[in-house]
Amino acid sequence: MNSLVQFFQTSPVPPSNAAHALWLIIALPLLGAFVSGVFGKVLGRANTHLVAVGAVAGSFLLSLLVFWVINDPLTGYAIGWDYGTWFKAGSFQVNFGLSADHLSGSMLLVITGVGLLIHVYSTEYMSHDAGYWRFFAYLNLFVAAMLTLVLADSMPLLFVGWEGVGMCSYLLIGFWYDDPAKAYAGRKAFITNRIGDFGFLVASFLLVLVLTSLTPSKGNQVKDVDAGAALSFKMQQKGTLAFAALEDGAKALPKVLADEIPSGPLKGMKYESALFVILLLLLLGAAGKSAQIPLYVWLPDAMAGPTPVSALIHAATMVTSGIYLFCRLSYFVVLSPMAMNVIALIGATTALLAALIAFSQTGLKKVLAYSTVSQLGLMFLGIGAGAFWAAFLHVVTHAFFKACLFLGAGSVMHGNAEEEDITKLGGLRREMKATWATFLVATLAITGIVPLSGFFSKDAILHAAHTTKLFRAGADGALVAADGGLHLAYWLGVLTALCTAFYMMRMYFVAFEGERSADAKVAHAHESGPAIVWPLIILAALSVLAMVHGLPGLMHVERNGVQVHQTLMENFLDPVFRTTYALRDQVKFVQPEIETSVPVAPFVQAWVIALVGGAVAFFLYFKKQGGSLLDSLEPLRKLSWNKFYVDELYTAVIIKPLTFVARAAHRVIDAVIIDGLAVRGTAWLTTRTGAALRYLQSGDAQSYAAIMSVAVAAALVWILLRIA
Amino acid sequence: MNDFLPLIPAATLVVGAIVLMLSEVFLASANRGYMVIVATLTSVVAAVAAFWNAFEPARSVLQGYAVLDPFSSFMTCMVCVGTALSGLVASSFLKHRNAERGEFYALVLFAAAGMSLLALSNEFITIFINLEVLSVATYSLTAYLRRGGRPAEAGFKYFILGAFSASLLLYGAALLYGATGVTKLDELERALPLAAATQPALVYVGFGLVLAGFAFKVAAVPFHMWTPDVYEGAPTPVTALMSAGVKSAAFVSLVRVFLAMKGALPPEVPYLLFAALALVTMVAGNLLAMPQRNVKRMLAYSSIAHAGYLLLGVAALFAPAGASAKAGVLAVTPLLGGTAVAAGDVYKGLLFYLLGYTVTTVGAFGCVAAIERREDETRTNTWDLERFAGLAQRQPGWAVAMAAFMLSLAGVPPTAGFIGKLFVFSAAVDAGLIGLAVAGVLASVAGTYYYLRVVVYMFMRPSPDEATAPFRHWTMDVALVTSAVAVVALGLLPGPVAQWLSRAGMMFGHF
Repeated sequence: MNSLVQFFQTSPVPPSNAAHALWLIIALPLLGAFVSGVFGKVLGRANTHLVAVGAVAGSFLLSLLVFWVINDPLTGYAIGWDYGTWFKAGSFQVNFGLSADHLSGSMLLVITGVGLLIHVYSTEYMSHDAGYWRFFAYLNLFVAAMLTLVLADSMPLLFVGWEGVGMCSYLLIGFWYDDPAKAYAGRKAFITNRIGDFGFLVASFLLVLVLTSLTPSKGNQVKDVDAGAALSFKMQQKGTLAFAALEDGAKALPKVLADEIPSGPLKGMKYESALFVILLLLLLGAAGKSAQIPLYVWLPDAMAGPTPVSALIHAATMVTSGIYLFCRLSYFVVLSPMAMNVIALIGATTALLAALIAFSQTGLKKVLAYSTVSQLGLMFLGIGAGAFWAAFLHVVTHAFFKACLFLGAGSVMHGNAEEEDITKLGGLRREMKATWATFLVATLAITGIVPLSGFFSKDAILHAAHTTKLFRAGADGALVAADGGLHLAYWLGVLTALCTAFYMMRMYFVAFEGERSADAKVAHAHESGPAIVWPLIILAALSVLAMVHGLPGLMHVERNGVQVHQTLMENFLDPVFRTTYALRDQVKFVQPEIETSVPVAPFVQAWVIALVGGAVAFFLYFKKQGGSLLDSLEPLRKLSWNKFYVDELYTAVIIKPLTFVARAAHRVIDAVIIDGLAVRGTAWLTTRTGAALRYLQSGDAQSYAAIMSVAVAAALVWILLRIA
Repeated sequence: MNDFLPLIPAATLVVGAIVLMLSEVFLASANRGYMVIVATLTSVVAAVAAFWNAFEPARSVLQGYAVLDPFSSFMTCMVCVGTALSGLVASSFLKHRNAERGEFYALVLFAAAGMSLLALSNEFITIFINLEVLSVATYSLTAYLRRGGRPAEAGFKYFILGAFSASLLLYGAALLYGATGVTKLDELERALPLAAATQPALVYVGFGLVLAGFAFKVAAVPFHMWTPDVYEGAPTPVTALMSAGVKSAAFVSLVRVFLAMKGALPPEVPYLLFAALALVTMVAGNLLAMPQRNVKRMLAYSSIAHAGYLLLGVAALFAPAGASAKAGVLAVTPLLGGTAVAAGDVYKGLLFYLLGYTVTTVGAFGCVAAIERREDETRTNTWDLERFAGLAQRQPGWAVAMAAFMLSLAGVPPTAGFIGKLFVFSAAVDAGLIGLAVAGVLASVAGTYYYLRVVVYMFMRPSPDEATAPFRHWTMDVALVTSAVAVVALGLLPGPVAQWLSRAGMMFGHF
């Protein structure tokens, strides 16, 4: 056993070689996208499949290799390579650097691993679509962008990936762009995301200002000269917004949190308020990408895209990038308890709202979409509770079971003539055995039934939200409790867990149990082929196996002289959150409970919640009891069915007024002033002048010579007059 | 022996030309496919030799009659690249017309040798002779195709006006010789201040006449009027060579000559002359190009406009360090607190601009040559925009390449034209020529209109029904692909090339 551990903790290649080759992981799918996009039509279906799947498979193998390398303690559990300055403007510098640590390493495996399965699945799922080459080009491009996002070692490069995945998501949602509704869904996703990107960008700019004010320079006295000098060095060495520099910036912050910023455009603002604003803006960015209040509305509509896309982009990878971002920047999060409260509340509220909407939806993918929003909300609750590892564990387990659910839904649609209304399915258990079994496993996992992975990750989040205490610095420097938001969020989270169990089991019972619906499009569903079934089986197996990462009490480490229990994932991510934990213990704003033994009661409680939720669904939809109860709740169902009218609210409050202003501006400013006077007027004037000048161009050599002579004479006269 | 280093490129070109001429006499076979290969290889060898020379330290050679400096070596290198590309374009063009002959390539190579020698000449007589070497070669190339009246008219016009301007140049040089008694530029630089004090009229008139002679060669307004007629009448590959090579070589010589004279004159005189030339050239070039529907003529006017942008860079070299008031848009407002502009930046900017312009313009004229049909030679609508309609459907590769060239000419990133404009304009702004730079940018905005019109026709207009398949030959494809790739590559990764070109700051005598 020890020798096996030894084997996997020894880097198979020199770490610097692996670091230098990190770009290959991104380059492979990028090349795949290029080949399938440009030559896909010529190459034919099978060759395009080979290229696209091969590219992701190659990336997956490389990711495995990188993962192996960063398990070597000699690497410090992280490798990175700086490819030099990317661009530079004054003292602002951005390097092109990639790095992999345990956080991005795990993401690498999820992206390429789940991505590979979904690529394989798509070869069959898209087998009748004429646009297959376009599809695989986009899908490969997405993988490349997502890998850029997680491998980036600076905010600007991360933003490149961030925008790249947004663009691919837009392209894939509107993949069937000849259907106006689907094209509209794509635009909606893109524009909503752009609102979030605005937050991300402004946050980055503010970070530059805050960090610069922390560095000692001429005319800038800083309190902590050593930390400032270290930060200044990192900013020059790695780039202004490199994560290494941000980390050093966070280290310089605790001593000055209550001070005012001494220089720069933010002069006079307190550091803690600046940090709070930055985190809120980042939350806006993350809310766009990860579909949180107030920007979650795009994700359910995003289901217009092909189902593999929903599984890969809108469940497993892209939508978790907000959580990834906050894990990356966790050293800032623990310095701002107020922001943590807000994050936890936003997350929990989103989770509950989405779960309630999912109650009444009848579309298979719609329910799954809202359940994704809801689960993402839980992850944000984890971030807000300071349990970054738990949030990230949920990212990983969720990637497995949600991808499995989506692909299962795709398989159902594939076998039922694209029918996705669960009330028009039913009885699939007997007709699609493999799909049924895997779907059931994944449903149980998301519901939170012991011993599936979802149970442990969800419970870790809720447990952390329950036990962690948040404080803020009071007037005299003493700590004041500030965890009202987190407490409320915890209860919302528990309620969400109950609702999740209900709506997931409802969907399962309606679609898979009972008799086949009379409205079904086809009398008998057919089971899908192996390229669809095998990814399902693998993902279902992973949904179970991933629980190992969340099993409590597996690891024992000594922390501050006390023997504490950790889960595998928490232990595994310790090196990533080294600075975060150090800062947390330094400022003591976040005080998690120290686990010296494995608490049993919360597990029982969570399990009971899941069972109750499931049981209600069982009686209502399997046993068909309580019909009168359902009838009396009809108004509530209608409210939920109409998604609490949030879309309508946005239309009335934001979109309509904006459109009106835009129309008015178009009619007056654009059409009359700019187009009419400025553009046409100038164009008319310049063309007229040009046409007039043309008359000088007679084609007569003598007149040319004459004009030249006159010009020379004039110049000479001017010169001679000047000297005379 | 070291003295002969700078002559290697020119010697290579001349040897190649002689070989081609003799082969036309002695190898009278119908197959002349080897000629373009010989010509291209010769140019490439010369380009490599010139590139090699660019890393030699700057020094005076051949008893002061010539110099070896990175500025001229890079210029020679670019001229040779332009020659190679034009040769490739010409091969396809001539083959289509059954007019491929050794003397054509020989003349092209002789012209290139003249350009190379002009770039390194450091003495007035040498400058004049080399200018004539390249001019005579281009005069005859202009009239090379003897079908119809157009080439003959163009050639003759070019010859008459060229002779006129050469005489102005020669007369100016003679006056300067009269004032100082020397013709070598470095001696002139030393002798001129005294002469300017004693015989100002002679010096100033000489200065003005030399400037007029060069203004003709670079096609600056109002010495530009031959350009559209000659460019239109000459065989299109020759037009490409003229706009790429002749202009570049003339610019190098112009900078060399006037830097030598700079010290003797009150600073605002050369500055105001160059600034005024730049301004009218930029504005008039763009305005005149705008109403053109004839793409070849439009490109001719566009080459005038580009000469204006380059003159803007030259004006930056002569910007007086202190602010000069009451000059309106030509006023100098130094941003850098009155420090002199780094001349190296201007040289680098000019060279990069010329390099970008060389590959772009050869490519653009190449595209024009590619879709030009032999039957159309005598018609008036040979190069009408209509001919480009729907090219994207008929010849997508050519259309994409042409779009790249048009965007580069308009100065849109990510193309070489954008980076070149960026370098030149930023050097001008650093020198304080803000008004002039703004005028230049506005003029280039107006330019976008007629460049994009070609793109619009290619991509958004349906193909005319009578469009026939064009004549295709591998040489044309090689030339277009090479220039298109170069245009985009220089725009995306200007770093390495800009790094090399910054050696041009070591221009002989003017570090």
